[in-house]
Amino acid sequence: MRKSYLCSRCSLCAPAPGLHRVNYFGKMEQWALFVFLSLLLTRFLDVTGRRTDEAFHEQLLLKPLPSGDLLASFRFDIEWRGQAFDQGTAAHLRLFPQVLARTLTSHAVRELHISLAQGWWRGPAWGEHPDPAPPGAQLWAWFHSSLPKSQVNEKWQSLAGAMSGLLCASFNFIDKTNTIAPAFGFRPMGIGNETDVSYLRYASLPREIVCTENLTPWKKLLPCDSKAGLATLLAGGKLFNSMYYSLGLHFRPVPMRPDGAGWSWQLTQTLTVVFDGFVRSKLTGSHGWTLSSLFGRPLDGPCPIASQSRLFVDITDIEQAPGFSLHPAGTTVTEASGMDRKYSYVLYNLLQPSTFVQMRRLNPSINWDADWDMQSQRPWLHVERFLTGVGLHHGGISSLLHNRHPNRSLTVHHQDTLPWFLRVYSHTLTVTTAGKANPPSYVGYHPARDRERPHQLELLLTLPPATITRVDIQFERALLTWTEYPPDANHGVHICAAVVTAVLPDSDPCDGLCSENSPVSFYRPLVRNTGLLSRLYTQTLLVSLPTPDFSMPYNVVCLTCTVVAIGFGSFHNILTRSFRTRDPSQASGIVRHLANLIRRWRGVPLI
Amino acid sequence: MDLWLLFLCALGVAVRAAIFYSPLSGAISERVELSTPQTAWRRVVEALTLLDLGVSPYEGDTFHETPMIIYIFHFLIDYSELVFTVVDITTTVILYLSAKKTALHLWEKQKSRKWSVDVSAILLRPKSLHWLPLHVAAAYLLNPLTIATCVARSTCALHNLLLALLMLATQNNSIILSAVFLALASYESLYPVVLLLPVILQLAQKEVKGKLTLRNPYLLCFILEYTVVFLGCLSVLLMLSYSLLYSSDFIPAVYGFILSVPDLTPNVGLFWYFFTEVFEHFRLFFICIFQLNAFIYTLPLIIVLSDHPQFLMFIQIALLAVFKSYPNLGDVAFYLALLPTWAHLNRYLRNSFLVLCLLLSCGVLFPILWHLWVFSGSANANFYYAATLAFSTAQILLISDYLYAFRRREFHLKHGIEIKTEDGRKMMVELK
Repeated sequence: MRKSYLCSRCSLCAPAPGLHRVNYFGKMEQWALFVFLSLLLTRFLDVTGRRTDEAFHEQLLLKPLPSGDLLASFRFDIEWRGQAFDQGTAAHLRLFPQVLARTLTSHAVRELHISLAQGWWRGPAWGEHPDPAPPGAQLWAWFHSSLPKSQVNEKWQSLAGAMSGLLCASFNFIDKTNTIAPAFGFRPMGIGNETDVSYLRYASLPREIVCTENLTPWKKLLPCDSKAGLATLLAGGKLFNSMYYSLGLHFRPVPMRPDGAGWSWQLTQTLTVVFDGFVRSKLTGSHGWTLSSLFGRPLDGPCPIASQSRLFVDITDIEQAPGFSLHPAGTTVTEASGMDRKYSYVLYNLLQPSTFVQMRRLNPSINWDADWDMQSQRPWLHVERFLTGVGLHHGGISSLLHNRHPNRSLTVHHQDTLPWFLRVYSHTLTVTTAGKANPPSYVGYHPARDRERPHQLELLLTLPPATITRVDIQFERALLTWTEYPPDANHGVHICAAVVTAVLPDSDPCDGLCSENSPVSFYRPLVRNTGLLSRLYTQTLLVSLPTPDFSMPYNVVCLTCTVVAIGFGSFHNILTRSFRTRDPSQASGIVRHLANLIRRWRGVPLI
Repeated sequence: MDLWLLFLCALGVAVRAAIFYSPLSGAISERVELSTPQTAWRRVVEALTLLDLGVSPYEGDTFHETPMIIYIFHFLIDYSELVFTVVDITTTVILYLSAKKTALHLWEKQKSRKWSVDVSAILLRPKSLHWLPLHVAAAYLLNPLTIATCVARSTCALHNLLLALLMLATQNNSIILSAVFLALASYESLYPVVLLLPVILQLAQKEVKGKLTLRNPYLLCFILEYTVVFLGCLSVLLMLSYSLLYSSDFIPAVYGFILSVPDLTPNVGLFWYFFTEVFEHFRLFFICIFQLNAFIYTLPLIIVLSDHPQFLMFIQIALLAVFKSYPNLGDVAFYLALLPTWAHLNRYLRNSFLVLCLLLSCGVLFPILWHLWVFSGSANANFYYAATLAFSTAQILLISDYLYAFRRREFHLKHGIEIKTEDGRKMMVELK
């Protein structure tokens, strides 16, 4: 059983009463003394205020990337222990954000996963994403199977609206035209083996721009807000001046103990940011960084109510670099993986007073020679996607799936959600590997209905070792009514990233044997014994649509009606009248004069 | 003369085969003027692929043809080029036979009438009638529009075949067959249902005793009889379609689609840009008006042309090609092929030069403006829309001109070619 949650510390500690439960006035003195002692203990013995049923962990991993960039991956966990996370529970929470708990319980949500990302994760250069996210916004949820199926859509719509309000994101644009229920690829991440996808809803908004208005409400969900602990580093100005950043919010049931027994409900908030190493080294003149150079300030201390607060620096790839130095020194943790590869981390335990003894602030600085070529292992799987074709009528989408593993085939699940106004033709679907057809072993295709639901295409592909597999599909662009176009219609519409899910060999740094002190990647499904499920997202695409002239409605209505009226009028004229003879001499002078002019020009006798 | 037809068919096949195997065929099949959302071959292939994937072809919003098309091409998909060529040849032969009958009918009708004055200049001549069927066949088979429709594998070619069969069956006075083909044509593309009354009128001329007025009980009886047969055929077809896929999804996907016009892909008709641009709250109103417009002309036409059901049928088919919701050039090609039948009206056409110029310039402008809008981005939708407007106007002028010419000729047949006053001055003829 793999451990992916950090909670054992809590079960070891004594069930001391919480700081906030002091309300017995009769035993005032006794309690005051206890509080004092507790505070002392908190400060010096690393026993923070905690309750048995809720715990908070915070963690930051800093990792130099092979491209010279730097990854900072924050992770905040709030855990509530108990079987039933319901309305009653939601009313008595201390660490878990009330507002979120109420929303989740009232919508019968079993699992909720939100990501908001700006930029595209460059897999080959940066390795595996700690919490994979597509560009833009993504929301998916599993509902409790106690919810009647007929209510799932309604709850989903309402949940999207609530999340939109909670995170100031455009989740309110989620509707039936961009929601799907994927058959594979988005299985529950927590306890439970729910397979009935009628309780699953997935939507992605590729156009979403993530910025400080999303970060601020996201930070407010943390127990310490951004007043203390690692969250003090989350200053918008520095974070958003980066190459990539993503916010994640995940709610799921997890086993309470490492052996898989018991239930607890975990809210995980992640923030992943990649700082530009090249620009940074040019600006600072050295190939290194300090915490304050990254985030604008050093660390003051942990969040006082956290039961775990740790900072890791991944030195696996730079340990051997000439001129390597890390100051101040921390505990070094080494992990071995199945691929004869060792992973080394430097750990700073923020709850240990010794961390802050020498200096009041923790500001690790790291330096190494800029010439050092990092021999980092590149991910086995990499996916990318692009548009093909010219013009505004037909087009195609091509995905390239790179299997870099030298000798193992990979089985991957490729999921695509395309809006209805791209009329996808499934007969044009081709999968080729090295010029030869490589038919998918499973094709799940739900065609779109106009203005009702998107196309949903799921493929199960086998990628031979060390090959590139290309998936092509053709589409035709529809002309929409002039009110259906997004604002700035000539900019085009954004198409969601395709999702590739795969079981990857050896991509797990711990290979299933992580010790408690390892900064394990968040993204792993619990209660799963075979391999490590990895999810990759392609780029989003920008498709130009043919547009009508938006300034023309009146003219078009008038002109078309005129043509119809010409038809109606002339038929009316011919069908309702009959031919009569008339003496031309009785015509009035002007008419005859004009008629004669024309007749003279035509060369026929005058009248 | 039959040898000529054989030669014509061989030529038609050769031209089609040459284009099918030339690089042009891909470009032609992508033309929106030929492949509407209803008739595009690409969508038929998609429907068959969906069936193979275990998804109903009507699950999505791509396929808007009837289950019969699925059934036919389920077996013949690999021979589609052959099928469409054979369909075109068959249509041509049927049009030829039908035109032969029509020519005979027109000749007999002319012979049976007594002329009070000298109208020999506008009378039909046996020689022209002799060549008429061949002209019709050539006008259909060698019309570039028909060839393009065939190469694009637009299912419109099949619709045209059914219409031709309907015309032949009606000419031959076979009530059951004409009801079957009318039901098939209506089942395929809905609009031919307006031909019900013209067909009844034509059949009634031979079948019903007495004058064709609504007071005639024989006529009423015949109308009822024919309608029942027609509806019976239609319901059998619908039931067969239901039993093919065990679902009635095709009814909204085919007929709902034709009537409510949800797909605004450009075509040569009047609907697409109008419903792209129209204000949302007027949409339903205008859809009703536009669809009504396609059906409304039948009654006045019947009243005015009750003695000339063949011409009535021609005008009605031509009007549908203009006013239907997803028209394409195949429909236009069909009624253009019937024009040689009415070549004796040419004397009274007023706008033939203008119409010819308009049609030719539209034929040139369609691809150019489409390219400018969709590929080079230097024009916008308005340009293509303008071309479709001009095209529709040209067709309306053409059809109304033929109607005018027909009525004018009838007038002159009755009153003489030149009508003079007592003092010998020429009188003007005008509509009043």
